Amino acid sequence: MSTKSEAQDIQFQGLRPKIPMYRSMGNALWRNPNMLIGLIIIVIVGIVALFAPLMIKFGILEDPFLYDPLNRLLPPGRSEAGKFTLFGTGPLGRDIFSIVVYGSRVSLFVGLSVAIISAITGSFIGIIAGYFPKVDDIIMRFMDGIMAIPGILLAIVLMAVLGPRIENVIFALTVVDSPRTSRIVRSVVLTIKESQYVDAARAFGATKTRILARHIAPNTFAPVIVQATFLFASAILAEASLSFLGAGVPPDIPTWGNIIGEGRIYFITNSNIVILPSIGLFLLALAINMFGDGLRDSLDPKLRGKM
Amino acid sequence: MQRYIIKRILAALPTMAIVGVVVFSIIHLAPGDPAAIMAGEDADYEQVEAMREAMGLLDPIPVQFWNFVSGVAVGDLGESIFSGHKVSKLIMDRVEPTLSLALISLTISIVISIPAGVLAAWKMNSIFDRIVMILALTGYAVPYFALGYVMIILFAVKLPWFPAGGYVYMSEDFVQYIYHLLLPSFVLGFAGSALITRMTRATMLEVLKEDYVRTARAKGLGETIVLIRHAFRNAANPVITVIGFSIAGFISGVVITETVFAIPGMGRLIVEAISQRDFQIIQSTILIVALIYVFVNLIIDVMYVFVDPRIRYDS
Repeated sequence: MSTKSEAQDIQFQGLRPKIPMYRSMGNALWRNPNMLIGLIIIVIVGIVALFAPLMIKFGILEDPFLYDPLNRLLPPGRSEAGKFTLFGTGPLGRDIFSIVVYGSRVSLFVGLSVAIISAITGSFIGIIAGYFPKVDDIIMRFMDGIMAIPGILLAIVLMAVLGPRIENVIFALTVVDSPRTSRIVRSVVLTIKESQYVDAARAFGATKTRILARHIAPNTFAPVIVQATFLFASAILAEASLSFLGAGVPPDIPTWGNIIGEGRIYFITNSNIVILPSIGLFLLALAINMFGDGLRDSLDPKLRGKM
Repeated sequence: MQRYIIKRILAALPTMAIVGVVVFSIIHLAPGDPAAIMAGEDADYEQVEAMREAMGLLDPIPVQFWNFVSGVAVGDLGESIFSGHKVSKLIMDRVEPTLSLALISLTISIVISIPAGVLAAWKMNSIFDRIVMILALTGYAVPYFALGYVMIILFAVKLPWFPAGGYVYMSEDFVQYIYHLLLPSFVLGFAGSALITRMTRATMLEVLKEDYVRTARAKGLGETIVLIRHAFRNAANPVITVIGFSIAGFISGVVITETVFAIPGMGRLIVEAISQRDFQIIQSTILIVALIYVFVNLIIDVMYVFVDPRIRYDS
């Protein structure tokens, strides 16, 4: 009686105790030291970013917006005039340590926004394309077209048209990153669509919306969360690259990319302006990727070790 | 096999068309007025209108699109709004540095990453494997410009082994041409090899578990032959796919590396055009770069046929 055992299978699938996502992530954290280190660094940067304005208010941190032409291009340490700076000062006399601390706010804000918005729009597009074959070809061809334009170039052009604002950086990077997410979601939807429990739900008379919302969308969560983590890291690097090329956040806002761009022509005599903020950038991106690798291994074991 | 190749070429056409539509729409439909930006902040209404007329922005959108497409089809990309030079000429002058940088760095990253990935998989969990994986993780997170500046400080300033930047054309002096490209290509190649190394290692790990690898070893074949002929040949397909993906990354990296090393390529052209708001150059350069990318991926798809006999017979 194959039909009966199939029906039982479906029942068992429903009854099988599911390990909640947060618990499998928690277990993974203890098993995977890299993931834990990554998370700790992200949390530390997050706390520093959160309290940066307070630190400036109470004078613990120099004001990163303050131009001080008399003390420009100071090396790290105590200057001849007796002014102490931890990381030195930039070409306009702004304190580099303050910029590194304060710049983490922009990096985290842009990175998180791009990751979240791309994950949502990418999932939406991917689910529609995967579930409705009629529009699949049109949507995916369009996504292919966007993906054929190298990311940073597309972002530069969008920024050139839209003008230098943080919101525009987020929009430009979302346009770049959403198609890749939609591709991943679509491939998951295509597989799940053919699975027995979706057939069963359809046989029970479930509507399309219900199948999409209850049976298909939840199964795309794990790969999307993993993808969003990697987008978080790549968006932070991309934001810095855009600002470095002069096509990002307005130059008066203290960000890592802006100060690196400002220090570009001085890098042989004052390499601290370029190198120190870059180390911050590198550490944060590395930490997020380490966390993302662990997350992928725990949520999506099939992909372990890949990409 | 021919049918497969023709099918792939036909499938690339709509993608190219969409690239054209996307590039055109960004410039023409996006909020923000290119003419106003071009005319400058102090321009009055008449100057902006004149600029609009000069840029052909007063024609209906379909007419503008037709002018753009028919121009591209015959190789006429218009004139630079800023300097008046032909855009096709400006781009042609910049192709050699960009392609050279991309090709040499791609070669460097393949030469680094495939042996590294194969050996890391072969000696899984060894110290070598750990080091390779850490380097690959680093390659993902390191910003191109930071790595570029560190390399210049180390190998051009502290140890004056390489030039700190600049470019020598191939026709002028071939040795100097390679010499000037080595440092920037290494920067780009290192960052680009992260993905390829991880993919090679991951697929090799799977392939090495297969029965035919065990059989090959049982036959008494040497490890080198087993690794290369039996294992890597079967792992090559996903690796080639990833190389195709990473070409987009290389092009993005080229834009930044050209800025760091003062190489007069297409990336510099775009960055300069953006500071001058020269939309004619921006639009055409992006289009050309995207077409190169689609074309390279087409070549990669055709390469599968030679690497994987299954595709040859299936289609």
